Amino acid sequence: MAIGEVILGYLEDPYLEGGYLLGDVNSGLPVQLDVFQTGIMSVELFALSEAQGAMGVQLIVSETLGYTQCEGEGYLEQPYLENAYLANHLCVGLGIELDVIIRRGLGIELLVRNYNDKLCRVMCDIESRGDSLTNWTASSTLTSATDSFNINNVDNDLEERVWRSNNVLTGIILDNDAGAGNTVTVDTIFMRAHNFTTSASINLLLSDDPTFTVIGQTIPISITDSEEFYYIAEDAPLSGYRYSRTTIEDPTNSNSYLQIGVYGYGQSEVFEDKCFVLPIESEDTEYADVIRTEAYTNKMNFRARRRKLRMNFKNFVYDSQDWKRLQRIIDCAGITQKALWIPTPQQPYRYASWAKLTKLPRYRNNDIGSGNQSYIDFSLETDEVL
Amino acid sequence: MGSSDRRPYETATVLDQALLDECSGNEVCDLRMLVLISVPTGAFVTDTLYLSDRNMVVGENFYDARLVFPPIKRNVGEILTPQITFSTVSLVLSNVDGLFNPIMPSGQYYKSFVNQRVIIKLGLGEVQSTYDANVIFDGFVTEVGGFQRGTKSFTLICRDKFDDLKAKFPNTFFTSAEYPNIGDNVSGKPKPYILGDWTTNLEIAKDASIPTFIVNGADANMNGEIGSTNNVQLVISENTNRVFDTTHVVIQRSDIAYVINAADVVNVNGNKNYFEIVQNSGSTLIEGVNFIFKQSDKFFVKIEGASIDGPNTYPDNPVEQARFILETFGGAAPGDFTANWDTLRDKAAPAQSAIVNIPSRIWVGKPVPALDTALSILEQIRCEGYINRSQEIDIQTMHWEDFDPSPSLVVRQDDIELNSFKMQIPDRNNINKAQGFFNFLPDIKEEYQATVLRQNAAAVAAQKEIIKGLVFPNLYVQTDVINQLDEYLKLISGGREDITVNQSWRVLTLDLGDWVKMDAKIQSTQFDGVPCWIRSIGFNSVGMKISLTYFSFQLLPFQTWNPGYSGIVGGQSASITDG
Repeated sequence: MAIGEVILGYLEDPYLEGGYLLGDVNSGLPVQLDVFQTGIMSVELFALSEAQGAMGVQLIVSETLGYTQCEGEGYLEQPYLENAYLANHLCVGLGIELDVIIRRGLGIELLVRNYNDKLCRVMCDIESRGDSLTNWTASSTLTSATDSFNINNVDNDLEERVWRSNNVLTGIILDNDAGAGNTVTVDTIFMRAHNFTTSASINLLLSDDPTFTVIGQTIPISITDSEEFYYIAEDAPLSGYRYSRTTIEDPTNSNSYLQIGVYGYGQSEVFEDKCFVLPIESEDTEYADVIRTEAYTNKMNFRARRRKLRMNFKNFVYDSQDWKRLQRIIDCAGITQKALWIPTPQQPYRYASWAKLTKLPRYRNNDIGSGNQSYIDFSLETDEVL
Repeated sequence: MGSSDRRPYETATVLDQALLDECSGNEVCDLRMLVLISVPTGAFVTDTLYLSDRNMVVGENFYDARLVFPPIKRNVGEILTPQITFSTVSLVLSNVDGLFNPIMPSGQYYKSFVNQRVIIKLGLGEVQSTYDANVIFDGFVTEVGGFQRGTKSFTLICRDKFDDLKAKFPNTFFTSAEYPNIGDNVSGKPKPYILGDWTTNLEIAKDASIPTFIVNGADANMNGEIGSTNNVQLVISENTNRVFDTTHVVIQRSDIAYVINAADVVNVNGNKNYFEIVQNSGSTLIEGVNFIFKQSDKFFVKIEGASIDGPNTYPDNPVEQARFILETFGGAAPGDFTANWDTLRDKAAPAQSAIVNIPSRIWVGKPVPALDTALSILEQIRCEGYINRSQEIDIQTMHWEDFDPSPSLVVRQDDIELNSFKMQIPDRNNINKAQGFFNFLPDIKEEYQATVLRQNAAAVAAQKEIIKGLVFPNLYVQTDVINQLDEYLKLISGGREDITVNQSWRVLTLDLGDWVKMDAKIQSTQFDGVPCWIRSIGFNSVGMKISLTYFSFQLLPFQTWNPGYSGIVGGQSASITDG
């Protein structure tokens, strides 16, 4: 839990009773909370300390769940949803956490994310890029007449277009401003084409204060790979922040400069229930110029190594949340935009790919009825070389 | 447990043969090409586009993946056909995202691409210095069709910067503005350019071979229409001459030559390229009559042409004459030439290769390419000019003593692209008997002298008699010509083969004129340590392979290279006799 947060109360099975909720939480201005999701084991209700002025919390389960949405799972329903604001019922499953974030405002805003760090996630809309192409500043940038190492290069999809420090390895600060009205909520971080060592000390500080006097959240960035870095939040982040700062110390780096190719963070689209079926196919291709020689061996000239992924999805329920999630990804990325694909967040480095879709998916529709009784098979193939 | 680094290119900072050998041993390297294109100011951060066939950083610049490099070639020409060819490089730049629209026609920063500079480099990884050391093309967008565009791309067609060496000379002309009384038969003609000593080895009858041009032929008081009181005004050349022999100005009238009395040769200017002849003075008699100008009269003089490299330092030296022409008319700067020019200029041994003792001269009366003229002079003394990999004008010899019998770089099967290794006896330069024609004289407009026939009798006996005449227009000493003729016969009568082959990037650092030891034994092509001489080289970014043409010396022994193969009839020790 981040600094500055206090637990105001718990709402959990089987004690979904008012006694466990602070009095001022379950009264006040109503804010509608739609819960469509299956797989809720318990509800943890957190609030930030700044939320002291909140007028109240209202939790409404406004949709009647169909049996098909709780298939294989159970119901959480009255009388265990006892308060007047807790109506109807919820599907529950093991191991799913529902975090409720309370934010300060005229009323109370509840953000409910059915979050996990197990299933495939895709980051297409990279919140750290903010609303402009120049939202970064760096304390050190390698001199270039062509401005080739500008820190804003990290917002560029090209891994080879990099930021480099000006022959400095310590005390480096990279500041990011998501822009007025924007916040960055970090459940995923990625870096590509960096040159940090495993002994580098790097932290991502999140704040609503441009001077970072007050820091909302600190995320350590622990480098384990010589070129890539991925961070997957165990729990759903509670808050978003406009400003972020990356502090870097890498005094033992053998290079004279530090480098980042692509650097982004924010919220991924996290699949909650349906995901790809095994096996996942991955293929790394090393591109090289090849000369076949008279010695019957090839002379090669290295160019690049790129990863290709293929994931097969089966029985996706039409119009389910994961279906909608998939549509958002496709709408965002299409075949022209790169996205960060992390099929296995528990082992992000294994299949992580900064890639475009090779083509939009071809759906095999098993349309056995109206509405939710439509199941869809399809494949997604990504390729970093595109 | 430690192990050797099999990717030394990842950390190397120097691209040299040692690194290429090491990488070749591990069969992988990281060689790249990039291009710098000058563009109008304002459109981009700098006035240069930094582009490549991949996204990459080199030095302090990012290079955008925008094009595929075409093959880029250089050569040193053929023996006895000295023509350097420069690659015309056609670059197709992707503009699918409209990045370059500001510099396209109707764009905010548009300016013609014509004559914008284009430099292509080849190097290792991100190491800037390796690219700077390997400029494989330096030129400009051509003025004719140099810029083309389509919806997704635009094309720049570029010529090599040394293309200017092909500029023609002489490049000044007789005009009525300069000479108001010039006759129509002279107006518009180029003013000749003259180098070397034109006072010796001349046509016997006149003993003066440099034509002069009458520049007041329309003067009625000179040409006799009204009178013959005015002097005949004559121009010898565009250039300043070192010596003008006023005692031997010859008038040719009806195929008979008469010497103008020195007293009638007047008003010689300081440049010694203009003079006048006094008419009817009584000093010059033709057929017993005072000289009076006739329209059919022609005048010839004996002169020593322009000074070269300071007053009279190397006026007759063929190497210096070639350099002078390239500098004066080809736009080359002194710094464009390698030190080899000085070395060969002063070469004094052996006799047949003692350039310092071989005089040359040239009279150019109509515009010809400076480069062609310079290369021709060099070829006559068995030298060749070419553009080296440092983008300098270099010079090498075809002198046996300068060849390398044991090159350090050995080419083996694993350097050679599959099925690319081919060889052929050249069609044109395969002769065993020759006659030299030399001493071009402008008054007779042809080579005035010829040598006896010379032959490689062993080569004639081994195959059949193949005769050719070789022309040495700028040499005028017979022994010099015979020496060159004999040496050429040794080189081209022995069944020499040309090798064409595609090789791996291991030979990347090689240049025209470099030598390799061919040690490739591939079925019918058995080369056992044969010295081979690079004649053309091409860089192909696809595969990063090098296309080469070699002279094979498999059947041409020289110095310590003496394989003892049967059938050898040529080489340094071949016997050349009168034939």
